[in-house]
Amino acid sequence: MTTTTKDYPPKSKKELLEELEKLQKESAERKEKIAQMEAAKAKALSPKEDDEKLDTKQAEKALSQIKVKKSFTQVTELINKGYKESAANKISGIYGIIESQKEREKILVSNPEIKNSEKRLKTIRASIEESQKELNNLLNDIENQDDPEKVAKSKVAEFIDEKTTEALADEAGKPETDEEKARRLSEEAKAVLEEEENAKKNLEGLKYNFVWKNKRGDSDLIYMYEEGTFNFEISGKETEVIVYEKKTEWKESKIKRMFTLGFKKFGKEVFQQKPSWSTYVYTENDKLDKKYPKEYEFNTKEEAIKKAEEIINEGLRIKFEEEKKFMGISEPDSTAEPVAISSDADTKPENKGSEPISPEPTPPITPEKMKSYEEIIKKADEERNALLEKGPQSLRIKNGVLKGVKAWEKFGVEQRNKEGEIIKEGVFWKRAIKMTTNLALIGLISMSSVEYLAKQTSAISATALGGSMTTALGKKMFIGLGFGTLIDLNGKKIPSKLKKWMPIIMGIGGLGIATGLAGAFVPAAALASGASIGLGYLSSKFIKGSYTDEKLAQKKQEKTEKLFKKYAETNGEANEKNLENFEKDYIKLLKHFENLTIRGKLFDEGAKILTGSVVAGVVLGISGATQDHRLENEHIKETKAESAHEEMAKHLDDLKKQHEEAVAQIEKLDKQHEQSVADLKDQQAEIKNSENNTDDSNSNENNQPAEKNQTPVSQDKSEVKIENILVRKGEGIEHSFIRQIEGNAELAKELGYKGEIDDTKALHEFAGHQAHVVAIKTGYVDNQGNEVRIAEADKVGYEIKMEDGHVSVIEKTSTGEIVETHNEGDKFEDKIEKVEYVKNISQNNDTEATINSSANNTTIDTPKVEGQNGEYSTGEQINSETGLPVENIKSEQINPETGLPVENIKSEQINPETGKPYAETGDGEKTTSTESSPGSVEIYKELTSVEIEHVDRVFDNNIDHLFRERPEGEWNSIQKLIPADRILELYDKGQVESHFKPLVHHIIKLEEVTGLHPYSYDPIDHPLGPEKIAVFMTRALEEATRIGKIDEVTL
Amino acid sequence: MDNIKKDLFDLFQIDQMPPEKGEEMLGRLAKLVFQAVLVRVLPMLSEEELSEYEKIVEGDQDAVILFKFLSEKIENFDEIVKEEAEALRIELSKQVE
Repeated sequence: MTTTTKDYPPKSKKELLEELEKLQKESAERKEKIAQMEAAKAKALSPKEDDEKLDTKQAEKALSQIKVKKSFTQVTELINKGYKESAANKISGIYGIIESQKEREKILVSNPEIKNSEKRLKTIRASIEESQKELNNLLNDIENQDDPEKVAKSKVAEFIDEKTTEALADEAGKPETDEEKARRLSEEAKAVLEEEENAKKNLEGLKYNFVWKNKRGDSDLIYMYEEGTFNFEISGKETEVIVYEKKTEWKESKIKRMFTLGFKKFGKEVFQQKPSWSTYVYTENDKLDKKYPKEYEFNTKEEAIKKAEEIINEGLRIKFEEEKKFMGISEPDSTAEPVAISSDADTKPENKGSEPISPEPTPPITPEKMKSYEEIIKKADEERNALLEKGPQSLRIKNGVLKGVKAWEKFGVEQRNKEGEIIKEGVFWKRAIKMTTNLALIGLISMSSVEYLAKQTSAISATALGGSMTTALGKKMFIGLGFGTLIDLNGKKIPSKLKKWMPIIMGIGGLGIATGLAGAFVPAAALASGASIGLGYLSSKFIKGSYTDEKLAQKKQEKTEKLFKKYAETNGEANEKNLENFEKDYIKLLKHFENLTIRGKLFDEGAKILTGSVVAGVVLGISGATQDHRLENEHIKETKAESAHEEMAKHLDDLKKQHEEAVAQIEKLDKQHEQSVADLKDQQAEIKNSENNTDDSNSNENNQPAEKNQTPVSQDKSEVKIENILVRKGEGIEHSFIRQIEGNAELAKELGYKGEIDDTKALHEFAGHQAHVVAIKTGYVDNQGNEVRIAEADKVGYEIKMEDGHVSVIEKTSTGEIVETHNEGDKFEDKIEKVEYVKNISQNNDTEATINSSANNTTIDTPKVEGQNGEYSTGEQINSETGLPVENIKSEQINPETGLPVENIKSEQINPETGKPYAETGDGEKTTSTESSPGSVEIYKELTSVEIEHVDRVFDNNIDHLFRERPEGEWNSIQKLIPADRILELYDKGQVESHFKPLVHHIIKLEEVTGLHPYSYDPIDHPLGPEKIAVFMTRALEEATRIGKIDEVTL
Repeated sequence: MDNIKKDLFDLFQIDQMPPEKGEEMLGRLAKLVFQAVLVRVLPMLSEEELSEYEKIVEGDQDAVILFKFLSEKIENFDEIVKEEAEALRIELSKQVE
């Protein structure tokens, strides 16, 4: 046999035997040593007989069947279960396995003819090496520790730690589920709310009033621990003494995971280390810091507190010494030993210049002393009243003084009737201001600062007591915020003793406790920030799941601070209106971020839907979820977390369905649009052909301007559709022009359009402008405000024609007969056709014609009006349905800057703030409202400016009525994104959320009362889309006003 | 000697009293000052201003408005308050001693 493998260096038999012999010798020595140790250990441990479930033989038998790699685990398990001797035997078993492998090795070496002996030998040697290594490690541990059980347990703990770390790492990568978050929030909320109780409990029997709270550790392994803090200062140097619980407590979920590792014991006690307590001081005072430089560990809380008290005592001693030195006082006031102030452990104390005091100071004043003080004041009061009575002041002054004092006494405190019932509750911020003012009155602070304080405090405290924050926690946070601001703003003016005393006197002595998230003495900005975070926390209770992210929270905080600042700086006066406004703004802000958060959730869920659909979905569906979440989360329960999750999933499904429907609808509309474009192109081609024919046969007409007012001279031979050029109900001549320019790309280009034909907005603007230009060029409008209007709809058409860059207009009857032709350069028409009339829009109502009309418009009295070009007939278009005069469209005014017709642009604009189209107003004259969907104007209702204003008010009122309880932006979103006809369609299908039904009901009511209906998309009449909700509502409200039924549609 | 240095707050050891009592005591002291201040400042008001003052105190207006009004109408209002507070302090400190 040759041993020429590449990866195993050849050894001679002799060498191998020597090596084996050496190993055997070593093994024998170790075995002997183990046997000795086992004997000693067995003696020491003296296990109970019944513990020994396996005898040595059994163990050996079992071990012989176990592969070497698993032996270690088996050993640790056995040890852990108490089978100590068996475990020891197992160690021997491992050794036995090694021995047996060596025997096999020996055989192979001795018998090289055995098949695959080289390969097998290699495997065996590797196995021996590995087992030997493992055994050596184990034996080393036994030698070093001299306690195999301890070693084994340590190994078990290591193993579990390793697995747990892995498990935690796995878990850290997973997003927190709704259920987990709900539970966490619930626990956090409980913890915060329990802080007060804990604090109260811990106050008893302690020399110093520590602020106790349960804190969340910075590791998932440390679940919650207790911490007490005590703050004071030494000559302006912050000092904080901290006592905290050192423990490791495992989350239930982690324990469950450990169960899977075979750890069979139950309960936290297995994993929770016995807690110890630590005390340390954080101070900027060098003396104290040097004296207590480290963290001191104790077995009990009491011991730790005792140490803390020692540190505090020493700190106070140093403080008095330093103050004594500074003040030059020979003896410190021994009675003035400070006790605790409260502070939030999460925030840096800012108690500069103050002394620590107790929220409930032990009154050193005896009852007798107190009584004497009261009597002194009472006497002074009586004397001053007597002086007032007898003084030289007039009765009016006396009464003024008494009334002033009385008013002041009432301010800010609760008022009771004779029965002792509260008839007016005290308001925190008023009380705070009153107390501050009292301090000013006795000369401790500047009176001029009171007003300033009032501004700040009132604005900030408004929400706390205004009803929007109903939870105790919320109120407390705001109180903390308001009061903290009050303190800070006057921080340099209020003596430190007042800083300490005011929170106590205001009933929020444990402000740090009360606010939980905002400390008593932090600066205003920090407080605002703290409150913002607090609100974020509160909000997060309202919205579960992974909706909130850091960016949102940060943005929200910034916005909140900005809001506070804004009110503090500009709206500071403490009146009810400001408070109300502040509250509204704040609620808006909160709701805004709720919406953002919900949208974020949608995207988190990976809903691959178009933005429009998302927003529409938010508006129609998810905002309902917001409300539901809010309600649900006020009572966080695990089961609800599940149902909310399902609900969200359902909403997403609904959204997807809506999106699919929307896509289908868009496709349908696209097809319709394509068809319409094709039709129009055909028409244009036909028109061109007919023009060519006409040009050929009527060449004279192009060279010589046609006579005006001529009788029909020829039948129109072109095939242009007459309905495209007819002036319809409510339209003017320019509308006919606009329609032609928009519908005829060549015409638009000939008139100078340079843009894309597909750019409907640009084309529409161009058409509006050019229509007016054409009207002026061809004599239908002049620069004095005169224009030719049409008295009867659908009777006459005005066809634009282009020839060598010159424009002309052919007037045709509805039957296609040419009435006359207006060429470029013609003067304003001084003789008009029967169906036409002239209106001068620059004149006021006095020039308006009085119209005698019949219901079918056939008889129009056209009184004479003196115009620029002589005597014109005037008249009004009559509404064929109502028989009432209808205001015609105003002449489109050209914006000198843009060159665009003002009318066209304005009619399409929506006020982003109100969500309704901009209203036109006038100065008492008749005002024309021309709300319509782009591309056509359907109605012109004659309303006075007062009526228009009333419509505006009703509109605003109705929107407020319908949406005031909804998140901000909801109305804006829906009125921009959902057409009126679409929401009605969704309603019919039962797909509108319940909270939007009032809006739909209102739209239906408007339809019923006015007989109007929202426009739908129409490639000809409404090419830019269906009528938006706001546009329809405005149109309908105007109609309701006109027919005298506005009250019926006022909510 | 100490009492001379002490203000009304310290003189009556307000911070050593139970909170409710301390607040009440502060209010009573402040009322004495405020009354004295009103006695001094009301005669300084014009007829019109006095009428305005009466409207404020008779109505259900915020007391802050009252102080704002007085601060605006009386040029050295803050000084007057301080003087009256000091007068009361001197007057009462003798009795407390």
